[in-house]
Amino acid sequence: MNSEFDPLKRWKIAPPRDSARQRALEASLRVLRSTHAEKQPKGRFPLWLAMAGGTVAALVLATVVLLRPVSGGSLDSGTLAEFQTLFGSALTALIERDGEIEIVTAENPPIERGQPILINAETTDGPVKMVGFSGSRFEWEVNGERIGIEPLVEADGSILLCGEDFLWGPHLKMGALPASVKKLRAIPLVPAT
Amino acid sequence: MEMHERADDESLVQSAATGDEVAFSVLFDRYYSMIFAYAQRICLDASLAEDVAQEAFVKAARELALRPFRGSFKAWLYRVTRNGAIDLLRRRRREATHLPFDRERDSNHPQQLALPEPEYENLGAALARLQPEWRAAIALVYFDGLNHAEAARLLGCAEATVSWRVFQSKRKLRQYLQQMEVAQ
Repeated sequence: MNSEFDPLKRWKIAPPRDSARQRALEASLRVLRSTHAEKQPKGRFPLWLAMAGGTVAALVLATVVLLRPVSGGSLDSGTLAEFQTLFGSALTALIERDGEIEIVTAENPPIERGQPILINAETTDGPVKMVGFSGSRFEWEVNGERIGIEPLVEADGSILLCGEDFLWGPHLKMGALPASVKKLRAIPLVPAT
Repeated sequence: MEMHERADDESLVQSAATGDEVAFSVLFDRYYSMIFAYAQRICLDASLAEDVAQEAFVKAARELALRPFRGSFKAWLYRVTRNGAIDLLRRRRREATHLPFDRERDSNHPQQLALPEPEYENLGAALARLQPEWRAAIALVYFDGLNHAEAARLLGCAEATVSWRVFQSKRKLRQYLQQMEVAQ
């Protein structure tokens, strides 16, 4: 094997089957037909107006929440509950640094989120506090580097943090943390009652 | 139909949004093979790729019918496919039922059975050891001809991350293949 060897040149794949292609087309057209039929106006309040109104209301509420004084260590179960009220299951993570909270939302939100998890990171850029959800991957940035993390609650209640190049938990440390992350610690966040 | 076939994505998307099934079918024909190939390179399984590709087009149909679509349809499809493929692999990993290159499952896909020559099997096993995110990056750069900046936009990461993933993937594949050759 010489240094010019490029294994990717040998990467072959199977062509699509006609039956699968046909099935996919039929399923898509069924959805196009039914969604379009459901969307037709039936003398009700226009959908786009309702959506626009909802978006404006959510933005106003989010602004109110974001502009309120944020004291150190504000990212707790109470704050999480407020944001969950605003964004529902679309809320993927909250990231707090330098007293500001960044909201991460999903393009295609799941029906419900897993157990909320509080993650504390010590980075070369200072401390970062994050709230994510078990089974939901989110990305954050340190010194221009995007870091993906998926927290997972194990059967015994311990938490695993799965990154692209590391698996980090109380009893398991595989791979290396990104260079800009010095420490990671995660605990379950008990929802506010 | 002929007029539709010559139309650009943007006008097809607009027509499909009004419920025009012919316009949607043209978009489907234009991208299905590409999306299926992309899903297969992430999942390493033709049957799973069929599910992922179907789900991507079903989502596209729903999205187009529901709200005005802006931006590149192709880029959107790629993003949905990548997310769908990676979600599916994660679910299967959690269920602990997924074995890459599972022969029993592959037997559902006759075309795939034609492929496993010994050297392909080694490459398959080596590819399975790469993270799906890495396979998504090399699929875009190597097989769909995107440059690193375009791939980064589709993957939602920095250009440097794509370059790093492609570089590391090739390095790791070489390393895995060498280990397998030594072991054989």
